Amino acid sequence: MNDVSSAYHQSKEQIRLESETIRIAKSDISKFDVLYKKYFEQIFYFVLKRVETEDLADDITSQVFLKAMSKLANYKDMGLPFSSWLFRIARNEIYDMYSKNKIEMVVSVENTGIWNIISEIGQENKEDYTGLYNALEKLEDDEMELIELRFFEKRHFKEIGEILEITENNAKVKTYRILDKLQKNLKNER
Amino acid sequence: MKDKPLTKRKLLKDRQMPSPEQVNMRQNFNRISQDHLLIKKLLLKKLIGWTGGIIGAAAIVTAVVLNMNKPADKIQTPQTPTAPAVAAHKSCILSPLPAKEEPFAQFKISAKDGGIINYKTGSSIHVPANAFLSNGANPLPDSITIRYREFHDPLDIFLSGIPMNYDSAGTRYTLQSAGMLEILAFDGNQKLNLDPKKPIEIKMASTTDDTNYNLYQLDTVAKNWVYKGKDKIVTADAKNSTPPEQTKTVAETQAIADNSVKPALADPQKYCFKIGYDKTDFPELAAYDNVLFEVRDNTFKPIYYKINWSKISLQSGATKGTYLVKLKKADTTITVNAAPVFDPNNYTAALAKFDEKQKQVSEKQTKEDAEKNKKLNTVNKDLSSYNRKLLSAAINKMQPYRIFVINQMGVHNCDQPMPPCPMQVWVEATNKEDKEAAKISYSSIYLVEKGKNTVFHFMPGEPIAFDATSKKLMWTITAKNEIAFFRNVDYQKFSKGDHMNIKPVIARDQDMALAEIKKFSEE
Repeated sequence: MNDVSSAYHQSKEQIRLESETIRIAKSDISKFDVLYKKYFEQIFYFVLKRVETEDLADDITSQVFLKAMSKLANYKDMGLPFSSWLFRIARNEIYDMYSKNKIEMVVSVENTGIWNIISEIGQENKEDYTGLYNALEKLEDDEMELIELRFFEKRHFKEIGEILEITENNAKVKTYRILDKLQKNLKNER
Repeated sequence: MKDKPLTKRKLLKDRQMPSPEQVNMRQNFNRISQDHLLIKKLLLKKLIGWTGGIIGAAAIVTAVVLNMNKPADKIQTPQTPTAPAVAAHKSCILSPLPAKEEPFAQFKISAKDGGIINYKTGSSIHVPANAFLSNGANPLPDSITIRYREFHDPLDIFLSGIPMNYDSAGTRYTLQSAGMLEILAFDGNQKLNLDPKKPIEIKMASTTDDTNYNLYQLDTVAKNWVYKGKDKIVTADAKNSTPPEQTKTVAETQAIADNSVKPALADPQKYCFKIGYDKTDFPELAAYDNVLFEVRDNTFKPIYYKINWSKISLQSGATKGTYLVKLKKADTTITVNAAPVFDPNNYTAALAKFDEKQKQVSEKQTKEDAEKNKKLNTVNKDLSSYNRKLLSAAINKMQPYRIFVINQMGVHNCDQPMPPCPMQVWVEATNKEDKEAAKISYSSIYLVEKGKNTVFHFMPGEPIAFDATSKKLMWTITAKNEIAFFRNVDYQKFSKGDHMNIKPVIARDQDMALAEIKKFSEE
């Protein structure tokens, strides 16, 4: 899988510059606009892929940045992309709204992601996605979340680990276990 | 991995995502900044109010120190003081119990021709021709979908999640409704906008004929109501109506008989008889001369044809166009089936006569049909008008209607702004018996006052403003979606400026709780 989200990958210099931007924003919150402009699109898409409408994604995205501004003083720079922290806030916000019965959650499935899963699990009939869709629907939510982050959003295991607060290795192991499960489920369906 | 609530997420395949340009058009840092400032102000004000300046400052420092290394998933909505600003940022319309809100009625109409939609409450929506703008280069398809629903009582309003607050010149009013509607148009899943030059006329059923209501439209971007003017009020009256006369005019006009038998050419291989008959006995043959009757029985013997029969008579057969020929001599009678035919010399003339007859009949029929339809249309029009009035009156009992036009889709409300009540208390809903959660987790407190067709909605941390003399029903929704009611004894504890800890009573059944709210507003 070559098309891993390039937004995550930053050079050391880029990360250093971002740390500087965060430091300035902490002392003058009006400077947070640099981070807002940089990450708005990524967060919006992240949210939109999990909720049903653009207007809802817009509201939740605004909420994410509002919380980020409110909690910026607590943000501890670990030399990692700021986006991972924002994705965690976004994820929590979506689940929070879901748990209050305010929204329905969805998984936005796209064909290249499906094809990559098929490549990984070696499905014989690459034209027929029906079995795979059925198998995906049977996954637990935390399993689906890993598949979503890895295959439908094409994120690196390191970033997945940061968003889910697990190690990179753990993200990798869990993902491959889920792929094994998918493979078994598919065989059982045949 | 942090535990999350169990979800079963719907798979959306090949979903159309907006372009980055469309996404970035949604950026609005100024709005976020303003909300952030508001949160800071409220937080400071609340802390000062609670604990005094120095203690408050110490609390901030402590909180900051304690939270310094808090992982991001522990980040929560800042507590009560920040909630109004937070709420302002959430979607304008968020039902507290989405499964219970009034569903949309869907109507298919022609985008080109428009049409009239009749809603179950008796309301009607007149959509003009070509009223919608296409979203892109592609023209609209002929059939589009209109989604429509109305909200008439406090329960409808509560379940809709539509905010009833109206900020005007810094004062927060609550809108009391005489009827509210939401109307949307779609081409597939794509929302359509109304051409402002082609407004939709709405005749909405209302709960009152009071003229002291204005029209407002919900601006979902600014999250406030926009004043749109006044409506016109009419009332359905069927008392003096009488049904139009229908028996004579609706009575079916008899179709003009066309019994003429179509001429057929004689088969030279078959036997024929020329029979004299009275034309009045066989009107279907009256137009013709030189009619022959061709034998159709296979049992007919050629010898019969050579006999000099003393009497040959004709009778109608069992079906139209068939005849019985009776051949009689002495005591012998032979009956054969026969059909009228013409020899080649007479066939053309007979056919011409048949065509002429058909033409006359057709013209006469058309003329009579036109007259009949004219009469029927008149009667149906009268009946339709009468029935509509009668039905409307039966359903709505002198139902008032509010007539107005809209030039944007969305939420429209006939409202009367009510100023805030001076009586304000801070309420915190607690449940000390619940060891797992000492504080009932709730997002809002809702209040209905007798005689006011609205729902007062207070976010956590907001003071609850109410009329101390009114009869009221107040409730909240727990994190488990339970409805928890405040009791009369709780209201008696309220006095201005108080901070109250109250333990609301959780209703055992959500539907029964909703029925209670409905009952309260109807009594």
